[in-house]
Amino acid sequence: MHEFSLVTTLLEQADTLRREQDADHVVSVKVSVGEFSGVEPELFRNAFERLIEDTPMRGAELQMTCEPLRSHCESCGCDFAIERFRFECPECKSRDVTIVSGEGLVLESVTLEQEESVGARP
Amino acid sequence: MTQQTIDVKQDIRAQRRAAAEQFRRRMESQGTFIVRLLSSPGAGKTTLLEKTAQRLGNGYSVGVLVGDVETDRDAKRLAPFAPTKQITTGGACHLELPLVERALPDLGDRSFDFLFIEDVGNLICPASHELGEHVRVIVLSTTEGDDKPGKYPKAFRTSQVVVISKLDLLPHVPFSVECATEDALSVQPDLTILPVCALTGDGMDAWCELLESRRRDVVERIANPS
Repeated sequence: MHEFSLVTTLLEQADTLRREQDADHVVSVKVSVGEFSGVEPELFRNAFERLIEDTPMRGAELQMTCEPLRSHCESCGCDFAIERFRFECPECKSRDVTIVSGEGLVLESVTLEQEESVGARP
Repeated sequence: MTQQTIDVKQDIRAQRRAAAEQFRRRMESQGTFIVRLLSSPGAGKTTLLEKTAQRLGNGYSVGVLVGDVETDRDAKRLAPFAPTKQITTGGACHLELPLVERALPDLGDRSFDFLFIEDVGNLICPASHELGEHVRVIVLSTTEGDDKPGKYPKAFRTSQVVVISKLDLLPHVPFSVECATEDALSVQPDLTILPVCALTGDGMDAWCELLESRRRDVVERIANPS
């Protein structure tokens, strides 16, 4: 259940951004979860919903997209999706393959909201 | 009400990775080579460490940090062989760098040639966290079955060495070293696989030589920066 720890970091990053931008609320955060990131999306969402309860981010929405695991074969140059975590080129059977996507846990964007300040001058 | 969306496009773990890299550099500048051990519970990490600390202790200074959810049993076992500090995570399933950095001063005001970090027995969560190790080692015991690499691909993909432990039990368990090796290499072809029995000493020479040689590489790199 290391998802709790990672969500804690996500909330800190989003809240830091909110303060830097002098915004009032975090409306939503968009996160891309790699297939090989070691993060289970459902547990990540559960952790998010539990942890935002007692923070200024209460009510914020988590938008998640999943990034498939893709590799590049260094021998024949083809790009392919890794099936069942077998790191082998489907064309030439080489194991000299590099992961090109699907390892990350990326904070893509944060949507912030600013309340109209009372008595603000036009 | 006005809304704005700010693009971040940064890995949530980027700061942690940078901190781990900084820790690794700080430790290697003192000549410390960090070995991190991952495994399922009961794979034999602590026994391997006892024997390793005993052997390496003849020519090197060795320090050990051991992570567990609860109790200081591992630290008590290892204390006769090397300065050891138990890190109890209080329920958490893996070690994180701040826990390691906090525990380190308890090993004393000195630097080590080898710092071993034994993570909590778990092949899932620890694989996603970096502790600044120079080498990540999976201890896979013959009693666990030879199908584990494919079941826990993240741990095996991100490691450099697999120690196949409890080799003395091989005649009694349905475990094929060849199958485990093949399965591990299909996940990570760069893995070095070492069959070891810590109790009888089989394979311990090769294991200790590998650690010494990997440390030498780091020490030489520091001494001769390109």
